Amino acid sequence: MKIFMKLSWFMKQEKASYIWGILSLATIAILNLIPPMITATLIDQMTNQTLRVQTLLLLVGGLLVNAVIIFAMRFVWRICIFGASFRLERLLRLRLFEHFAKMSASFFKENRVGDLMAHATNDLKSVQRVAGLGVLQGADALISGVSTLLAMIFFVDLKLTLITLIPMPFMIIGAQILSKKLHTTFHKAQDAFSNLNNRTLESINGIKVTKTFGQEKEEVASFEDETQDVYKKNMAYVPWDAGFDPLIEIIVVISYILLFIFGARMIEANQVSVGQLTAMVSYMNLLIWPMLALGFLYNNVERGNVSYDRIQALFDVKPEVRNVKHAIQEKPHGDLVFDVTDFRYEDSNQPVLHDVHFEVKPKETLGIVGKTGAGKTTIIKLLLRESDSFKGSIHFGMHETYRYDLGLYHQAFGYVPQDQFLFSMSIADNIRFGNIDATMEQVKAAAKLASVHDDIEGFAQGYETMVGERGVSLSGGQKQRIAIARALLLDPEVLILDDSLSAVDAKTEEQILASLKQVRHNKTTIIVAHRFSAIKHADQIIVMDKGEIVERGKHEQLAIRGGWYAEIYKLQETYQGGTSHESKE
Amino acid sequence: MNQKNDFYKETFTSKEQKAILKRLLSYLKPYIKPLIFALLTTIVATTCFVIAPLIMRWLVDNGLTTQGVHMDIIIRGACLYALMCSLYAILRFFQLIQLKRLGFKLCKDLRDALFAKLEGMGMRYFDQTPAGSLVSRVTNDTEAIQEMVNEVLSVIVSSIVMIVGCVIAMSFLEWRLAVFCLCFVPVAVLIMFYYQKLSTRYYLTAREKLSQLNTRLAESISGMYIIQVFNQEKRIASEFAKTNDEYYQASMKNVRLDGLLLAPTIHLLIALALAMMLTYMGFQSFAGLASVGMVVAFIEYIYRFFDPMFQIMDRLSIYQQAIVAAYRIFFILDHQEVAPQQDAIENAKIAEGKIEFKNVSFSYDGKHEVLKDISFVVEPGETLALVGHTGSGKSSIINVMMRFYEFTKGEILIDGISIKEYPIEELRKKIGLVLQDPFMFYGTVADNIRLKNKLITDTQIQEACEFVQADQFIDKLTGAYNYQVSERGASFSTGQKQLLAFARTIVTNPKILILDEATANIDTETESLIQEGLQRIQQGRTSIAIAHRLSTIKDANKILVLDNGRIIEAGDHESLIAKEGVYYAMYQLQKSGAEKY
Repeated sequence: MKIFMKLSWFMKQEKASYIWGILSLATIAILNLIPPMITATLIDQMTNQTLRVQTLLLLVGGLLVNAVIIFAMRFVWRICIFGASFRLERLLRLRLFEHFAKMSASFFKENRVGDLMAHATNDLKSVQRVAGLGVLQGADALISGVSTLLAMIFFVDLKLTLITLIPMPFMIIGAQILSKKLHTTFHKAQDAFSNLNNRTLESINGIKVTKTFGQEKEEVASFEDETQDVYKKNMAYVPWDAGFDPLIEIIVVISYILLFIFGARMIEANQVSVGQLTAMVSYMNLLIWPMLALGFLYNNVERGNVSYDRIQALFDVKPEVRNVKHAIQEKPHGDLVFDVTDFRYEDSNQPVLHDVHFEVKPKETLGIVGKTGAGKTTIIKLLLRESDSFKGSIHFGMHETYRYDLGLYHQAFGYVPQDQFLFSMSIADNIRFGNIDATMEQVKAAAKLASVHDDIEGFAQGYETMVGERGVSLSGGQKQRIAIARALLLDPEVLILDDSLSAVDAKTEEQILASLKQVRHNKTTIIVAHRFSAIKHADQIIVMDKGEIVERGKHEQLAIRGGWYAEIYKLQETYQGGTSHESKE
Repeated sequence: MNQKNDFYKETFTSKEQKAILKRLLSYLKPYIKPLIFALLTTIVATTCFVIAPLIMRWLVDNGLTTQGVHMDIIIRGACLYALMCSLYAILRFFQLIQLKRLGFKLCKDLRDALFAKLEGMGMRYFDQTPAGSLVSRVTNDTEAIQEMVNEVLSVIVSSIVMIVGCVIAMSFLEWRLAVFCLCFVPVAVLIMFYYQKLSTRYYLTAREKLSQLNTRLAESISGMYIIQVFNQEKRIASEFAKTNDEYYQASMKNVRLDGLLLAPTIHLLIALALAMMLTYMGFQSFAGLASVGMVVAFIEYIYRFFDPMFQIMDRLSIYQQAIVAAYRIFFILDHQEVAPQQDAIENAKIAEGKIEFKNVSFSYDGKHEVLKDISFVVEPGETLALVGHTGSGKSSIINVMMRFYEFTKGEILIDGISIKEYPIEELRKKIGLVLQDPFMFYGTVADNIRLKNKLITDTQIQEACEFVQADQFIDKLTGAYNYQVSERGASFSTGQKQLLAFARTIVTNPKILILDEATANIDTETESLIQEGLQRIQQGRTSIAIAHRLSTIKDANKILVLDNGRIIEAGDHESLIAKEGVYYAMYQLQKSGAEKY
């Protein structure tokens, strides 16, 4: 029940909803006790032949009024309690989102998208269930359970009540066992289902390989094994699921037998009336739900509690990069002075950057090359402040980078990442992602600079073409160029291309580099590349190896120096041309 | 596009619904025996349940008379009553299991059928359809149908039996009251109709909003670094808040609707029926005609009569969802985009590996030709290099050669026989394709080389890897050939994946090799390994290569320069250079590309 304590902040906030909701539930619980009394009175008066028309109409009228009030109250509690629980879900979801938005790169490295999504969907749902269904089950079980018991004892008879109740604990225990078993077996079925999901996705993505090797039949056969596994695991939970109704039915029947046999004895002894016996039957039916609810409540609360803790644990993570006190409230501009003596990732003791020093003036272009894992992207990450915890300093203009307000700091950058990430919105909205107020002219101008305008115009819906699931599938090169346009639209102080021309063919690469030269003539540009053709024109090239700068200079100097750069350049000249062809993704 | 819109259709006329349902039920044909068994069980169980109140009446009227209590009748009656209820409970248990089994079986059948259908689809289909949506069809939509069979089928059958049974039993007791109760049926149907109409709409909106919300969330999480660098946290969060709120509103509509029309309404109807019955019985009692047993029995019947209505209403959305799901599944099953068909001559074998294209034309969409009148010959053992800009038709030549797509005009001959006349197995066995972006499956390194071909031994795998020099990096992996490939081979570099793809192809020892050379992101060290690998695997094989590497091009016996779907130049390296045409220009650009900077 700890979870209700943990949620108390919310319940306080939604005090009115919960109070009204629980009051309505209480009213229903009490009003529900009346119809059996009315029926009992009618039956007794009918048996004794003492019934009069007025009494009959009065009682039946009472029954109807009662029903209408219950109807209204049922509506009220739903709105109050379920409404509050949905508001909790909404609130937590938004908070999670805002929290994610504050998190640094390290957070997303530690938590995979799938896991974060699971927290934001399943865990949130479990918490919502506790705040809605859980409260209902708890409050209703308590209120209607107790009030029905009281009615049984006071309106009928204590002894008969106790006898009737003998089998009830078995129902609670049984329901609990069943739902526990159901939970574990169902969990396995869900795992199998999610395997099937991954498996199907993989098969579809790998369809070309399957076709190439002519293994369609084998694929189908192994898929059938997988569906068979899902079938088996599903059938494993079925008995537990199907067991609920029979369990209740049988326990209730046992109560009935006890009730009739002992009830008849008591009627014989004139301790209860026939009407009271029928009322007892009705009350027993009213008790079933509270009993079950208690069984369900236990599992609900348990799951909700775990889920809430998981969500809370996410909230407790503090962003690694935060604004310092009195952060400088201006957009940085000027020289970049990178002077990092040591940087390593938290989980390793191997430095990723060691004594890296360089300066870039506005209107200069810096080229960064080196093997995979040499530290190129790490330099970019530090420039973008994905982490501020390094030894040494990075100055941007007058101040060290960490002293700027993070939001303003980022405004100075246009960044084209390695992985060409685009959002599922129109191409136009993707290009103006950094400035949603940009005009269509600006969007088109940026697209032209990135040599992607003609491609976009070629689509049936032009700039309004949707990207993603239900939209067009773009080639890797098209994505890269749209991402370049997105960065160029901002006309940023510093433009960073992190290996962003890899899927673009030589001719287009040349075009883009030419337009960059033209529009970036008084701003800083940083280009990370594998293909040296992208950085040949740079004012300064640094060659990274194992986190250190091993060579630096202009292309002409490096090409004849006889180092790694010259060697690779020669290799590239022989092997890699520029007819790079755009792969369809 | 029109077809696509159709695909996402969510509301159907009752005629369409009927047709879909009928077709869906036809899938139950193989299970007709267990189905009948389940339905019979349902009927017997429900009958027991309907009889029970009659016993109750007998027990009350004869056991608890005004003259006194007859314990023997009470005990006999109570036991009989208990027997009926227990029978009902036990039969219901088996009926539920039986029906669920049917549902899961049906679900498995649909999944298998869908998957087999997908495996046989032409590549064009996969170009046009996002993988995620196909996965949804295969897993989620089939699940929705299974849920319908499990939940709706059993409830509908038992509800009908229950309602009919109750009416019969009630009319047996007091026909006037039975008629009264029947009067509620139209009311209930009307409510059901409205509820269904509204709830379907609300339900679909809520579901749509939730999926929007989750898509947004997933996308924002993966793209958070972009959002942050572009300073759009506030905007994206406020857009998210908006969708979040829309989902809340949609959920609340559902709550309100359920609160008004679902359980509370049925309870209200029950109260009305009870009131009516009691009034009637009260008046009967004035004439001395009523019996307590009758009242007790009627109370039970009224609950049993109305409960099925609630059960049905509660499950209408499941039914609706299943119809949408079934529609989409059938949409795929009916799709005509099958892979190119063979007109095979039995035992046709590829022995030499001579390839000939005769005036081949091809179009992806039926409108724009991407290959126009292509003709060339590759003699056994020779290498043909394809060069040209993006969209020039290089990949299309591979696509028609691999029979991923059907070409529209002309002929492709291998060893003088049309490519359509070989059994597809022979083509797959003798033509090996190395893809530019080698797809890695979940499993070990060995699994990824062997794929599903169980005839390939571990030794063969090792030999293939040694041959392409992939063994050097594989040996360094923990577990070597048993190393678990992580998601999509993320732990391998593009170059390493390329080497594995070579091994994957070479292990099947094809006669003809088709190469789509990788371009992006290969560090230059692996590059030289790949070069060597390439040369090794091409030895003694006829090969067609989309070439990016000057070495491949130079060593090719023949080079085709493609532009806009046509061959504009052909010849070997020297002759093309001597010609000083397009190839010459391209070669110069590549060779010394940016030296002019």
